[in-house]
Amino acid sequence: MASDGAGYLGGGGRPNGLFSWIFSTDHKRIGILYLVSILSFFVVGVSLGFLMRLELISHGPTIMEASTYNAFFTLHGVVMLFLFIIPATPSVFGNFFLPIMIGANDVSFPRLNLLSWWFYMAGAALALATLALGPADTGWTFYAPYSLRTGTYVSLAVFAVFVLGLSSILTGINFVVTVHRLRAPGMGFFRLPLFVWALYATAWIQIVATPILGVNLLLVIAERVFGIGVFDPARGGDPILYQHLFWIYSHPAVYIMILPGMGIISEIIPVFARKVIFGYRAIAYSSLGIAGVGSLVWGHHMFVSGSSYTAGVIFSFFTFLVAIPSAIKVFNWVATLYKGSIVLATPFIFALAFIFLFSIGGLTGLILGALSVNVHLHDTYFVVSHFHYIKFGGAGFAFFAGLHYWLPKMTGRMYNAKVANWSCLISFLGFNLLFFPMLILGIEGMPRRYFDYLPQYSTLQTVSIAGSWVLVAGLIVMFANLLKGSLRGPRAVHNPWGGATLEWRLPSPPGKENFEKILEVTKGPYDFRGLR
Amino acid sequence: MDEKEGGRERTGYATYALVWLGLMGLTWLSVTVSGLESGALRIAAPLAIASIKAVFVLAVFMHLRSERGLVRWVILIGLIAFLVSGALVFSDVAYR
Amino acid sequence: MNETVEKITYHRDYAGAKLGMWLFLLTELGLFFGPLLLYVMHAIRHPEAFHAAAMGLDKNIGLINTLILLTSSLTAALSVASIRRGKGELTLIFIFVTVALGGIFLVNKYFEWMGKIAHGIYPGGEAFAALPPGEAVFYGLYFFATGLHGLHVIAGMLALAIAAAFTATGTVNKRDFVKLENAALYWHLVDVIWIFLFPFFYLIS
Repeated sequence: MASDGAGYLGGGGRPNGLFSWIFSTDHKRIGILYLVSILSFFVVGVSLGFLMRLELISHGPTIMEASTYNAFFTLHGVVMLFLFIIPATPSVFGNFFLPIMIGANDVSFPRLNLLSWWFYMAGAALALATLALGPADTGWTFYAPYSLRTGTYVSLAVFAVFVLGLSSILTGINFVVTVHRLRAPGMGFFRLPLFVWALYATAWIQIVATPILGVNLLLVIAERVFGIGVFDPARGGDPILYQHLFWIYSHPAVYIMILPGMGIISEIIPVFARKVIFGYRAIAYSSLGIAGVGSLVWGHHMFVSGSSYTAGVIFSFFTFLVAIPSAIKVFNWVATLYKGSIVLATPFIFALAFIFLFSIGGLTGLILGALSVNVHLHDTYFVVSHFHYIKFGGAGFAFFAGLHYWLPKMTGRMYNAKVANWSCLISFLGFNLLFFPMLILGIEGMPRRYFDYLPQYSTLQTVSIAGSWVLVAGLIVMFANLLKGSLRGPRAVHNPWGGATLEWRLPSPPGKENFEKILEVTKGPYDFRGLR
Repeated sequence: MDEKEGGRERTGYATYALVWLGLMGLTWLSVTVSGLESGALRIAAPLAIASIKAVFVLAVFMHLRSERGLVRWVILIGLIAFLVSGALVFSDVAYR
Repeated sequence: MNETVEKITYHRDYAGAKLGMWLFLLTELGLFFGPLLLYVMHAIRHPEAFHAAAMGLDKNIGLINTLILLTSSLTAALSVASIRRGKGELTLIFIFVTVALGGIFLVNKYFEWMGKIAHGIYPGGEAFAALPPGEAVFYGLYFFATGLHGLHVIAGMLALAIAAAFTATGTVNKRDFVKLENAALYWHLVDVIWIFLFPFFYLIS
């Protein structure tokens, strides 16, 4: 459709070169900026995790000292959560596709959008600066009172997370206002693609919950610098309140990670089943339901912290409750597949992997939500495995699915589908090989964050370590294939999958202005009549 | 500026001044109440008065009474979220 | 072409700009929800200590500062009302009074803090270290919450000053005053936060 095919990627404007990217207020360019930076930090996070696994290949110090190991699991958490998985889907695909999907030419506040990327980079720089200075060894949760005492650069790490939170808030505000104000004529709330619904619900969590983490981190800094005493038992403070304020944000943050991923899956399933999504409204409302109920379950991280039994019962109840809207989504996806005309293309294969892995993650979450079982499993590998199934197997694989679904639109070029399918299979196998043994190790009593382990855990640890190699191999194949495809692949047509959402009406890559004139939306996002 | 979007607001100077007087009065009242009584009222009354004052500032000074749509509900949504979170933390601290 | 599209998308979306501001204000409330929640929970845990510590704060300084901020909120609201009526000079005067009252508030706060610091009651001070456990927490929270609020007062003064500059150059005018209105909204929120900090720290303990 586009004459030269370069679209928004083409130069010719002023400023030119690199500046035309890092000072661009075009939501598509900002999406690409995020994509490049987020994937770079993902590589850092994967490397840290890989080395941590490798360290456990034999007893005692193998490739690092215990203190280094502590620093590694802290930084692995900070990088993966705050630099990769929290911003990944909203900031990359949200920035790029949310305005297009609602028929707008940009987000409501393009300059804030750019500022949010700069905050992200500043936060990332600060977080990685601690690596050189003396990385925090508290774990990514920065629990008081240890985080108040340790001699490492906790204040700097905490401040980095604060800045990243600011970036996240700006994205959230931008999305809520954009969805409310910039929908094209005819684009009612119930014609929004479900990905937009998911981002909308996510944005509300970002706005309401992130400031509470922010102030909590400021309190940690104030404690460390001045000693104000609120979390310090010696002065009458209470470290459990730190945990409350931390998880009031950080549990909903799990939904900041997974909800956009669910949104991606809700896009991919109907397109490749060639069928209107089953239960559109149920999926849309369940996004809001997850955002709402998901904000009330944080106490299940604290069952054994010394918080009250009453609180434990309440939080356990809400934890079981939040499984309902998540299950609604899974059932609706599966129901969409029923009697669909399924095309087994790469994004769809990733989506299937997501459903499988997310289901394991969700069900193990229920096991952990039960009070009595939690006492046994708390802080074991079972927890580690559970949240990796949710965050990596769920949110991560959804992000990969999104990459394979949308990258042809973003870059205008196609990757090699066969290699991509293999990369999905290898990563999927590697992932399960890496994390499934951890479930068993956890039940057998292997504690998390330990630098060493008893001989009885050797076999499963070795299997898990081998899994990490397979997973990394799969990721390397995947990214090499995507990179090669993006740079030198064959030109992508404007609608390679036959999608009905608005982005597929635009050329690949889209032009500088998304829509030359304001368009009138006349049909729903999953109405495939007239398309292939 | 679009009349439909932001031009509905027509509060006069006098209304603002009256609200201001009311706020000053309420402040005086809250200080007095906190000095006089002891017990539950001493805690509840100043907080209730503060809430009334905040509602006045939000409704009149910040024009929420003439706003339409989501803007009206933003603060309420947040307040509900914060209060529920507070109640849950309370369920821990009070029953430990 | 570019110009028109930009205008359609951004400049005339007055309601969008305000919605964005309100969402931002919500995040500011979230920021203060943290310390207030800690206050309530610690007050439940140490009622006597909080009562004893609150006795050390001068109710009158708190009262004066409350009245100052309420008045500044009035003048901020009036500045918006007068730009709506096209009275640019009056607007500038109201903004100036608002910023000046903010300055007076900070000066008062400074003297209040200095009074406490002179007695060694500050995090890290000798008298602070000797305080009974709950009282230390009270003062820790007092310094944190009022300090954070003070930073917001400064930010609000800056926002209003920028809005004043825009008013002087005519960028903010009768037809397009969302920058001033948003700055005023921010200022009101700083006032609302203080409306709650005042009873918590000075009245109810």
